[in-house]
Order: sequence, then structure tokens, then C-alpha cells
Amino acid sequence: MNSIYLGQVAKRLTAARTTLVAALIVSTFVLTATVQAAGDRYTVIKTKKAVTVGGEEIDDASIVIVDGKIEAVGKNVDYPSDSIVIDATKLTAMPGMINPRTMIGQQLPNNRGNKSNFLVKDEFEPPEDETYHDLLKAGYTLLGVLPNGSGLPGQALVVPTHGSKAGEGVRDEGLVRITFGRPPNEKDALRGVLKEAEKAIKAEKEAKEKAEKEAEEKKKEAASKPKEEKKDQKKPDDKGGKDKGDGKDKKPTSQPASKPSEKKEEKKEEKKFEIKDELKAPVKLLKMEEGIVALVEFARASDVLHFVEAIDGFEFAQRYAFASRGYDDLHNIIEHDLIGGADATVMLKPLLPQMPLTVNPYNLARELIEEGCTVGFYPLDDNVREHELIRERVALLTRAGLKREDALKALTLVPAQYLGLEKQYGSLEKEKAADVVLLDGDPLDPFAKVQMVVVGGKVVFDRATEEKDKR
Amino acid sequence: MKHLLTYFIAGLIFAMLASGVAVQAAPTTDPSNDDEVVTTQPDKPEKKERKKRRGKRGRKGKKDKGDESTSQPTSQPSSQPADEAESQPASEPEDKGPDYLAITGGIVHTVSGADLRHVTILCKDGVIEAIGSQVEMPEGTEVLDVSGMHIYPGLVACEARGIVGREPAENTTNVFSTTLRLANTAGITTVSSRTSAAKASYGVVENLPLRNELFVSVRYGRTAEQREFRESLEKVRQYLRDVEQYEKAKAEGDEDAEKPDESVAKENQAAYKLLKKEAAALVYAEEKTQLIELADLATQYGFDLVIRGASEGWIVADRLGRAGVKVIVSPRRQVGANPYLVQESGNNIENAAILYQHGVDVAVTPSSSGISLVGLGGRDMQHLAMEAAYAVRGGLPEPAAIESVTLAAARALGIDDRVGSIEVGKDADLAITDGPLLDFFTQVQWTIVNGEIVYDKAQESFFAHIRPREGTEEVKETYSFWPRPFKPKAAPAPGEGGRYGGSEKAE
Repeated sequence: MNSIYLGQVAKRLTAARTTLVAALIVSTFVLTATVQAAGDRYTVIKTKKAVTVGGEEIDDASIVIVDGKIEAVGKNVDYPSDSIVIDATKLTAMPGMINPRTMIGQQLPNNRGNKSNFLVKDEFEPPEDETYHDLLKAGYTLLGVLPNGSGLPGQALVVPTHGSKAGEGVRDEGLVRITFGRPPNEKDALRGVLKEAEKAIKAEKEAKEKAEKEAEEKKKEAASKPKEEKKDQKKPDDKGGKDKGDGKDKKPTSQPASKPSEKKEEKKEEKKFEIKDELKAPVKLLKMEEGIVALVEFARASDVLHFVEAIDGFEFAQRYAFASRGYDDLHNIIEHDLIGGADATVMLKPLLPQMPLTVNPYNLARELIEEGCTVGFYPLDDNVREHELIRERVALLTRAGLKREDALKALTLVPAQYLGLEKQYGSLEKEKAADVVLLDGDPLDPFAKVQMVVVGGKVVFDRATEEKDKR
Repeated sequence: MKHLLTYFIAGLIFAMLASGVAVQAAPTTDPSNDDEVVTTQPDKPEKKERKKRRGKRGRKGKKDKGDESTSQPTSQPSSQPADEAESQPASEPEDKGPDYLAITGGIVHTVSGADLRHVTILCKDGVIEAIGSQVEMPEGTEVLDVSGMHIYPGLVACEARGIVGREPAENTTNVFSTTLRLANTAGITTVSSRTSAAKASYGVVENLPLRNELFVSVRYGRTAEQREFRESLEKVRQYLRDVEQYEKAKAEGDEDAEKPDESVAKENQAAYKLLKKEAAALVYAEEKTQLIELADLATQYGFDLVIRGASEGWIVADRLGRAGVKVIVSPRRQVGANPYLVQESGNNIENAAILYQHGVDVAVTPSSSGISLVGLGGRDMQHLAMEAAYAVRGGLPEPAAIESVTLAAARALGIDDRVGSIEVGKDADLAITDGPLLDFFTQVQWTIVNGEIVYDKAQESFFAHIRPREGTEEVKETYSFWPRPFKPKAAPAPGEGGRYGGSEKAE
């Protein structure tokens, strides 16, 4: 992390005047010295106030960090005397913000239809360091990178904005994106995928039962005829392999088999059933396996109804996002009770929409929260400016009645929950990752600027140092 | 909107609890003090609750019906087999059984038959179950008393645009669109858009489709198009004759019979569908020469023909009538006469009336096919009944004018087996008005689609305040959830809280 920061500085340096080089080198050396010495030592951030999001807001709080995780947050907390102390007594601390829905700096293929086996991890090219740096500057420490496309375009990747260049993810599978409502055939397509997955589950179950029966029979046979044991033993070893048929047929030449012969083999040995790659994720969803969730994305309120109709009879873990920019009909979500009540997680754009054909605004986020939903916000766009603006936009929503604690959660904890990472990220609490953003004012004050970002006990952004460098 | 109030109260209680927790909690970093909303389990299925709570308008499919415990109507109407209820399998205890809606009072304009008074219309699961003066209502029937009102079949909007989505409408319709809502305010319950017909019901996605592939669109404007159409008809007719002969020969045992070239049918698919009577032809034609030619073609080749436009139809009404042509006219459409002709030409206010007199099936649709919120009002689909009323001005009998926007329109679309009139066994699509449909004073009070009330004038802000319905003088706010009582926060004491949102202590 530190090296990247140095890289940043070095890049900036090339553009600067040569007379500044010496001063800069000195300053970077100082920085490396302090941070490298840290090792496993404790780091303590002394703040004016800690907005923990998960719990209380604590004045004059100290945040104790060890091994990249938060050890304690409180007014009077103990820490070893040799701890590294970051003096931020004039700053307010908040957890790093999380953008759960972005396609920043991507050149991903535009997937259509069911490509749910596609992992963003495989083709992710991390954006330039400067982009990451700008995002850190805006207070964002984690990004949920979505696969590009429509239908079931793939599984998302969660990357930190300060990680290694290879874009190692915090989470790289299990977040299946489903877009709904743009092309008209999506409804049938989704229904088709779910039905196929259901069939696959059934077939798998049948195959399993059959295999078990056969195995039992063979055991009995084996008990009676110990000579045949060797042949039978081979088969369980082959499980998972493609050339299972060969054991029985004893025809190695049939391996590049033509289609008809393959079919025959399948009929003969159904226990070697394998789920198609693109159906694996839907099957997991329908089995309600842990760690897989559908991130469903709607364009209009009407799509929610269409979606409910499309998945009629199927149940799986879902989280929702409204991706429309116009917000022209989202009041129907509340008016017709489309999502309310259930503890649904809904991601919205931080806007104050108006009733159709009027100038009457309504606070969609607040209404949804009052109906029992968990609401989070994501930037309007992938550009850095929107990441910087989001606190201001959310501040406007708080003026229109959104509770402060809900607003703060919507920027940090709820996006973490959306990405299934609420145990590791999203608030300043014990055992969570030490992503701390330090501002010179209240987080919901649009005039407050991010002054410092501390990740895992290391300062990855410091406005003061940077401005000194620029000069 | 009762549930909103419940949520509000629940929200208040929750807020009180949350603040209580906040006061009690010691300032520690223990994550167990998290707010309850956030500490939900990861990757937990979140659907179960939601489905139950789906809008009350969400109509159950046919499969949901049939709970033995609820009482069935004791007097089964003639059209419904009495043993149907018994033959249904016992369903899950969650099912509520069939949805019943009874409309009592009012004058029922059945369109297909006589007008009825003092009758009750009983709808079961979106279909009209019984009409009569002594209909017994099962337990749990929702009763809508419409005494003093007029009950018409839901209006059928032919050739509409922008109300339901592209084909297939059940997948693409934006059921919350303003145009759809306005269509319901006009009493429109069925919309045909190009080649598909679907229900227009605000906020409902179930049971939308009526029929796809209604028409074969035929272009008959330019000379080349006319020639092409004629040629393809001729080819297909020859092909069908050949096929007939071939089959005959084969049946007689002639093995040398040559099978006709199937590519003819593929290449001239439109004509093939027409001559096979799989669909009717929809042709846009205004001029009398075109109308005559088309009528002759329809007689000659024997296909179903629906002509959209036909503003010069009054000149050749006899020929159209003899050919059994259906027309979709716009009585208010003006077409100038051709000054170079020494014959009659141009439009005529009597067009619909003359066509009707000559036995042509007349359906009416406005010339502006969408619902527009700009430009000159009163000429779009929202004023479909006014368009029919204009034909009455030109001499069309009033019942025929009502039929032209209901049953005749359904016939033109080939969906008159399900919509267009108030009959037992047809879909429960009704437009309930406070006066005769074609009167300018009349407003639609309720619109019912598939047995669900999708529009209630007193509940929506569009027209509720105009001549308010008796007993509903107080106009209900459409969007009752906004504005909520909005309490501006007290200015924080100096040194406490920020400018934006402030801290909770300030309260």
C-alpha cells in the first residue's frame, strides 16, 4: 500500500519542478520510516469525534488498530505506549465509504443472456492508480465491480481502492447480477434460466439417488463376489472427470466421441450427471446455498411486478437496486407496496424524485426505510465527481427527513451488507477492517473535506502532505 | 391506504425503541449494540415476506382458486358447470379461494342484448359469473353499489399506441405509466397495439394478454404494393388448390402425384395466413378506389378484411357491406374532397352512419392513437367515447355508437369471445359511468379490469374534484404518503451538531 502511495507521489513529481524533488524525497522518506516501523505494532488514531455508524458517535475517541483490524474505539481506551499515534484531534472519523455498484475503469465484455458463470475477477483490469487515489480522496475505500451487460451477465468483484495493482478482490464470487426491465425478452429469459436450473437440480438429485442405489447394489455384489472389487473401485475415483464412460466401455478411442454416442453414454450412466457451467450459479441460488445472492436491478417500478411474476414459484436470496436515472415512477414502490415490509436491501441513487408531472418531491429512501427496508446509496455515475458529491446529495436527503443515522449507514454499512461484507466492513467497530476516513467536519456537511484516509493502520492519503508536495 | 398508517405507527414505535436503546447503551465499541435494522443475517432469502404483501391489486392466477372451505355460490349460473368447484383439487390453506366482486344497482348496458335494471353482476376470478336480479353472493364477496350509475363493458381501444408495451405485452408493459392510468380513467380496459391485443390495467401484470398475431399487416398504398399483394394472393390460391388436388390424388392412391412447391407458402406468408384464415388483414386505406379494390379482393379470395381509415367509405358503403368488411373509422377525421374528380370524394360526417346502414361492422377509434398530454386536448384515446359520440351527431344510432367502441371493436380485433359485452362467461371488464356513455357530462366513476377495480374516480386526483361523486365531496389525496408531517429540526444549540442533519443530541 505504501509503495502505491509512493508511486502516486512519484508520478506527480515528474510533472513538478526539479527544485521540489529534494524536498519531496525527504518527506517520502519520513513517511516510509514511520509506517514501515509499524509492523505488528498498534496504531492509534486520536480523533475529535468518531462516527462509528454501527454504534454511537463518540467525542474525543481513539481508534486502536492492530493487524489491519480495529481493536477498539472509545474515549479512554488502553493501548501500548510504543504505539504509532496518528494525530487527528481536529478531524472526525468515519468508516470508509463503499460503492457497491460501479463499473469503474473497465473493459469488460458486454454479456447478454445467461452468463452467470462469468467472473469479473477473471477479466478485471484495475484502473489507473490516479483513479483509485481520487476515489480515496472522496472517501471511498471499497468498490463492488459489476459485470457489464444485461440478463445474468456474471458475478461481481469487490476490490479495495488501495490494494495491489492486480486487483485482488475481497470477494470475487457469489454476487450474481440480474438486470431486469430493459430488453423485453428478459422476463422470459430469466424464467427460462430458473426453470432449467430447477430441472438440473431435479436431474442431479435423481442421478445421485440412482448412483447411491447402484453403489449399494455393487457393495452387495462385491460382498458376494470379491473378485470384481477392483473394477468397481475405479468408478468412484473417476467422479468429476469427463471421461467417465471409458471405465465401463473400455474404449479409449471413444473419448472424442461424436454427439450421438455421448448421448447414449449419458443414458447408460446418468450418475455422471454434471450441471452446465452457466447453470451453476442459478442452481446454487435456488438451493439457497450460503454465500450466493442475486443482485437484482430494476429500471422502473413496473419491473418489480414483472420480476415477481417471472420468478413465481422460485425463491432465492435477493437484493435490489433501482438503476433508473429518471425516477419517474418509483413512487409506486411505496404506493403499491411492492417491496416494503420485508427486510429487503435496496440500493438507490441519492436523489429526491418528484411525483410525475408535478414539482412535489418525495423522499423515496425515507419512505422505504419507514416501510422496513434497508436503504443504501450509490453514486449517480462512475466519475470521481459524483463520488465526491454523494455526501452533499445525501445531506440534502437528510434535510428532507431522512434520519442522520440512516443516511450514514446508507453510505457505509448498507453497501457492505449489499455485498455480503457487513461483518468485515462498513463501520468502526471491533474486528472490522480498519478503513478510516478522517474529515475536517461532519460527514454530512458538504463543506467538509476528506483530510486523511487510514487503511489497515497506514496512512494512504493525507491532504496536508499532498498539498505540501504540490507547492 | 390503511397500511401506510400502520407503517407510520410502527415506524414511530420503532423510532422510540431505537432512541431508548441509544440512551441505554454505554459508549462502547461492542458491535452487539448495532442497530437492529443493519444486523440482518448475510445472504438471507428476502422474498418470502414480500410476496405476501404484494399490492392488493396483484390478482391471483386461475391456479389459485378453489378452497373448499369457503362457501360456493348456491345458485350456479347456467354457463358454469356446477361440478367445477368440486372437481378442483384441495389447495393449500394459504389460498383464500376465488375472488368475488358483485356490482349491484345501476343500469347495465350489455351491448350484446337488452339494457337491464335492478340486477347484480357477480364476477368470480375476473370472469362474469352471473347476471340477474336474484344472484346469491358467496361469503367474502366485495360488493360495489353503483345505484344510479350506468354500467358498460370496458371500452376497447383499437389501434392505440403507447398504452401497453410492445408484443408480447405481458412482458413489456409499464403498468405504472401515466398513459395507462389515463386510459383507465377513460374506461378503456382493452388496448390493441399493432398486431396484439392486451388488457390495460394499472398496476397489474397478471392476465394481460388477450391475443397475439391479430392481423396480417398489408400495405396497399403504392401501385407496386398493390400489384405485389394481388400477385401473392393469386400464387397462394393456386398453391392451395394444388395442395388440395395433390391430397385428393394421394387419397385415391395415385403415387405419381407431384407435391406442390412449399416455398410458395413461405415466400408469401402474409397471403398464406390470410387465405388459411389464420388472421385477418389490416389495411390502411382511405380512398374509395382502394376500398372498392380491397372489398373485391376480399370477396374474390375470401379472407377477413379490416380497413383502418375508410373516410371515403360512405361513397362505397354498399360494396363494403356486401364484402363483409369490418372498418375502424375516426369520425372526426377530415379529408378534403378531390377537386379534380367529378364524383363524390372526401370525408363525410355521416360516414359511420352510412356504413352502419349498409351492414358494415363499424368500430371507432380516434385519429390520434395515443394518449397525449400536449397539443389540442379531447381528440386522443382518452376521449374515445367522444369520438363515438361524434358519429352519433352524423346519424349513427346511439346503441351502434356504443357498440362501435366495445363489441364491434372487439369483433374487429377477433377478441369478442372474451371482451366487448356484459355476458356471463366473458371477462369482467366494466366501465361504470355516472351518465350515458356518449354524453359530454359523463365521467367514468369506476373501471374494472379482470374483476379488479383499477380506477375509482373519488380515489384519484385526476377528476375527483370535478362534479364529485355523492358522498365523496372530500377529495382524497392520491399520494397520501406525501407530504408526511415534516418536522423541521430545531436549530442545534451552539457548539452542538453540524449544519446538515445535526447530531441526535440536538433534538
